[in-house]
Amino acid sequence: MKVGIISFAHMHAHSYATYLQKHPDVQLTAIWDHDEERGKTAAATYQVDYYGDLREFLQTDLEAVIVCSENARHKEHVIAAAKSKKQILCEKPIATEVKDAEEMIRTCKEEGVILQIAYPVRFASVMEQVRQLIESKAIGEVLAVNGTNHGQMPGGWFIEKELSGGGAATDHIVHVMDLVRWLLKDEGKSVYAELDTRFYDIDVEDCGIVSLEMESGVIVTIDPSWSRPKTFPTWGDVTMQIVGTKGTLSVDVFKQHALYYNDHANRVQHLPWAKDMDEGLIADFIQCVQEGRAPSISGEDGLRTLEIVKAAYESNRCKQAVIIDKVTFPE
Amino acid sequence: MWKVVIADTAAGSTQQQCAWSGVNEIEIIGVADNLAVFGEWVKDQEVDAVDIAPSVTAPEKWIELAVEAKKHVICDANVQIGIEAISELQAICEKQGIMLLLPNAWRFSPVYVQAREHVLQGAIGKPGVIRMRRSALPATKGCIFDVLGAEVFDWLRWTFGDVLRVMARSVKHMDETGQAVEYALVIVKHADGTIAHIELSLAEPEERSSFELTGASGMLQYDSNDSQPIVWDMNRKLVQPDSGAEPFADRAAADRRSSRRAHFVRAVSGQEPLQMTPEDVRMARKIAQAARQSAESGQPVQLMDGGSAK
Repeated sequence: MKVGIISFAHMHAHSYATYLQKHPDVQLTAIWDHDEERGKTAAATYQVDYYGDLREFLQTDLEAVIVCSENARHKEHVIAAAKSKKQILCEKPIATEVKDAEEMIRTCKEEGVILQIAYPVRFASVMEQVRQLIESKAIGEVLAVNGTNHGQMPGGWFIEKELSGGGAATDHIVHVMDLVRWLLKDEGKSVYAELDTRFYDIDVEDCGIVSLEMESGVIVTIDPSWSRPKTFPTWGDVTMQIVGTKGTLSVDVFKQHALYYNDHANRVQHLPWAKDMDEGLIADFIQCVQEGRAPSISGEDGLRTLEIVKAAYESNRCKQAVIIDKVTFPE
Repeated sequence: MWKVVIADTAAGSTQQQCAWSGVNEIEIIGVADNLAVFGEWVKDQEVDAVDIAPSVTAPEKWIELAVEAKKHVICDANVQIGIEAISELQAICEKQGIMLLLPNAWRFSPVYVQAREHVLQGAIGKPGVIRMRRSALPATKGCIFDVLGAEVFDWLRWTFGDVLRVMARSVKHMDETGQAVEYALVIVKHADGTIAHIELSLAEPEERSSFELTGASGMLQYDSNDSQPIVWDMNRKLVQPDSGAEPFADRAAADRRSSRRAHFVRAVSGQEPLQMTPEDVRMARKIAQAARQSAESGQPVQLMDGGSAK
């Protein structure tokens, strides 16, 4: 199967390229990027063809593409790929506006192509264990989740609102929210958020807390802050304290690491040794295309988490909890 | 020599007496286990102060008696005193010129004192998101926002200043044995812009507290579970012996009880200002009340006076 990558704007493209090349059934053959230098550098790294013209790239015999462009460009690239009948894995968040996500989902349905959203944390081996523990009622019925997806401030286009759609809230609410929806088979009902820019002199929010009530009554908070200091030993974290009627699960997705006191670089570092979740995400997407089955993580999954992000911004603006307005699609 | 009367209605309890053992120049006159005896003892001209234990029911009545007899009061039972009663007690203390200390244990905890000092000295720069966690055993009685939250809210207010608004959600589950599991997640927005997130849990098998204080120039982290200098595990095949040694956390709690009494004596003696006033307790309880109201309504509650002390 021939697969191409649309843009290396998002750094995850490198990880996806690596696992595409390692996959026995896949050939990474082409890269498109509007940034010629970035695209040519990536093409040289992975020894594939570079295209500066998206139409030309999409006219090749690629079966599937991975979209890793800036958030605000996902819509343009996903719709173009869908109209060229390419199967699609799109980096999160699905889009920066709900109406864009709706259009992407509708177009992919009309064109009969897969639209999968990249939520790799579902493929962390620890999360599969957590899912089984919750399904087996090991902690009884879930009452609450206290989650974090912290990071360091990424800079670049992530802090340019017209390209990213927003700061830490756009970047980091969606991972934990997707996990909560997936684990609990539940949807958000009410959202309250306090967001602010307190760490850096930037034009988007860099910190905050989001509080949710799910349709089931489960309560959730998510800390999406870019609050990891420059000296922090790794990029960030994904953690969840899941409180049930019979017990509590404390989950630290990136806990499996050795600690490296590095005198060469004058810093302390985490050296992760767990299986890379991106490998599982890529393998799942490829299998999905091969089998022609519905994606494990659908466009609607991406849309539901985006709706929560947008509700969080609205709540922060009006300082009230807001009811999530969900888009529905006819069967 | 300072003379102290203890009010403690728990049979055989020595916790309060032990708390004074580390304070110099103190004589315990006696332990009153009912209001009538207590009322007689505080009339004694030689008594300087009274110490009211958490076991006492309706502690405001005991405090009133002591204050009317012009005795200084330290009382560890402040959770049991209503917000209105705190205001009334404060007024009569001011009128009588009496010191009333309703101490928050966290203001006497070395790690929380140190963390505050570092924040005030600029160690983390401009504060951003402050994450606090506190858990106690499910059997703990009382409203979760008061019994677990009030001390956290007081520490936050002491460290980051006035509170603008509070948003809280809480869940409660009663199991088949009638034991309640209760859990709350609270967001506190301070007037200076600091955002605090507080997890309060009556759903875990042990007492625990932790913090993560993030700012523009750094982060401070602490977890009571990771701060035990002694971990003692026995071979699984052997029966765990009765060590006879106090668990480390209990000893730390006893140290905090002693240190706030030592401070109380120094404050009454004019050697240092009183660490916290009843007004601080009242304000922390107002934040707890706002959290309770928010959890009930599903909406944030604005503290109209900004959470500021008078």
